[in-house]
Amino acid sequence: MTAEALGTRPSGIWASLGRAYGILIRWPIIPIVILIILVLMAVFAPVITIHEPLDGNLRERNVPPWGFETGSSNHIFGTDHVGRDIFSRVAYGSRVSLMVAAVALVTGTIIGTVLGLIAGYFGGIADEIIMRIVDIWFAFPFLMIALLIAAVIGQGISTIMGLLVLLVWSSYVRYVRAEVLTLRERDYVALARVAGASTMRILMRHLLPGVTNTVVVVATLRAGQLVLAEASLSFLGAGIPPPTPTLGSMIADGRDYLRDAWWISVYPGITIFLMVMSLNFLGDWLRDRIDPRLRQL
Amino acid sequence: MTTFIVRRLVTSVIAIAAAGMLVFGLSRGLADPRYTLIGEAGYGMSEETWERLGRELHLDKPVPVQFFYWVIAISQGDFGKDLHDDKAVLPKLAEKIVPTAKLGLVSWIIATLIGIPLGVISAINRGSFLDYIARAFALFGQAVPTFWAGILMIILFTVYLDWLPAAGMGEGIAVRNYIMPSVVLAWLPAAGYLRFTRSAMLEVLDSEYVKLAKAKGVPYWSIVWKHAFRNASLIPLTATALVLAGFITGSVLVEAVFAWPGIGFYAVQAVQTNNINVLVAIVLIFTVLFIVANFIVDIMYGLLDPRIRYS
Repeated sequence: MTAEALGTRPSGIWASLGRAYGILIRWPIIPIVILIILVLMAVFAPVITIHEPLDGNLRERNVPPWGFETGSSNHIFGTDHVGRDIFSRVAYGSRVSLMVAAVALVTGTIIGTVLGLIAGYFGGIADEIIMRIVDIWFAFPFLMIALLIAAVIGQGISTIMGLLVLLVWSSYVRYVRAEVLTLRERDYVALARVAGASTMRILMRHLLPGVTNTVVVVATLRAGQLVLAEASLSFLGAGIPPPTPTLGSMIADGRDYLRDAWWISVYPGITIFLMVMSLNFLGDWLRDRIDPRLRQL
Repeated sequence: MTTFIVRRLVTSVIAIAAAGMLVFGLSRGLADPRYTLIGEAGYGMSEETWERLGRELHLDKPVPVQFFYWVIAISQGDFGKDLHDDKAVLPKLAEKIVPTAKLGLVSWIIATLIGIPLGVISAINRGSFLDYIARAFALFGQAVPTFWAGILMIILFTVYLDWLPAAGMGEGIAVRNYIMPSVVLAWLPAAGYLRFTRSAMLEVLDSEYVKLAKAKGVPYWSIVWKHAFRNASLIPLTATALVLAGFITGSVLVEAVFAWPGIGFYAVQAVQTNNINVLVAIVLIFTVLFIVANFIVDIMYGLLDPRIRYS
């Protein structure tokens, strides 16, 4: 629109390539397919892998992936420095990553949405307190707090889930609150109140459905961020401790063997990248479809 | 304006106080801090040492009093000792902040030089291939894990091409040592700048006065840079909070990958060895830095754009 206004509408081969790419973005088939494949790989990890993720075979250390030098289809992604199969570690690692992110996302979504509903509907002192806490929480650099908590409480699956909940809850509150502020003035809400609906019923039956779109968009946009945060913390040694395979810690393992075995770090990284990228694409698409007002997200 | 500044100031001070309580609570509240202070070689600590440590940390007093002593100590720059070499934490941090600041500065320059012009170009060629390339660069920046990007660069430029060193800061002004860490660190902030500049430019280019300028026959580049960019250039300021958070998070990850001798690397080592005093100091310093920087940005924004003051 702007480009036309300035008389510079692009034409030629670059423009048609751009439009083709634009269609790919508008219809997120590729991200959805990638995501489904990754989820299936994670869910059916025990079925599709032929090696145990924790069993190393020292005679088969640093075997290259299939298609490279001495690699074979026995270990399609190769093996790591203690002879563990990288494909099965990636599959089980995705399982851990996706599960941790999903649990944290659901928990954080519920907490954030409920707080947003309360702040928006009741207003007053509750609103003030909740919003100030959100403001202050936004002023903290998350990774720093996360490192400290992980060091004090000790690493583990429940710690990392808690940390991710802490990362995600605050992003809902503002949007849900803003939405509720306009919804609660609508006639149907007033009518419900006149008809004698309880506060709980108004919140759950009349306001919650109105904010669902926003919540879904924010959740999808945050999902990739959670996967990335879990991977970063595991990479730094503040996430899930070994021997549980996680994508982040596998990348850290491979760091000492970049010269001899690049594949140890590369495959888990590709997996994280695909996971986050498709979640982000999906989130962008959903936002543009459902709730374009959230463009600044 | 004064009300606005005061309000932001109050929020920032409360945030700093909250950060202090949070960090204090975490380092003291969850377990007897003496356990975390023992360090690795501390098994079999004698009864007297245990008691003495308790007195030194004021553990025999009520929690609010403990907090008071802790705040006093920290405001005097006493963050305790590094549990591994028994040296005071603060001078060590002062020494390590230099490499982190140097790397951050270089990356910030790179991020600005890439992100903002690319955002402008992307906006004025909206819908073109160039636009999609730029947006793909931004999308990748948000999806590729920073540390993994660093590792890929090491595989390519150190292992295969043998052009750049994989670790350390080098002696003097070692440009080759800076290239990989600063580019990796700059990617995410550059992506942030790009997105914000692009959407700001699109908005301004769509406005009435740009259309008028065009109708009057003002030259194209003058419209883009003088009419549109000057007004849009405010918006990337909003990205500053995001960018700063990106640098703080990024510097930890990037320094860990490239063994950069700065604060981020020190923090990672402290996590892995449970060096709690070091961690507390670093977390506090970074948090306060972040809050102060956000405050300054807010004030600048309020000065430049009066609408903000009343929202």
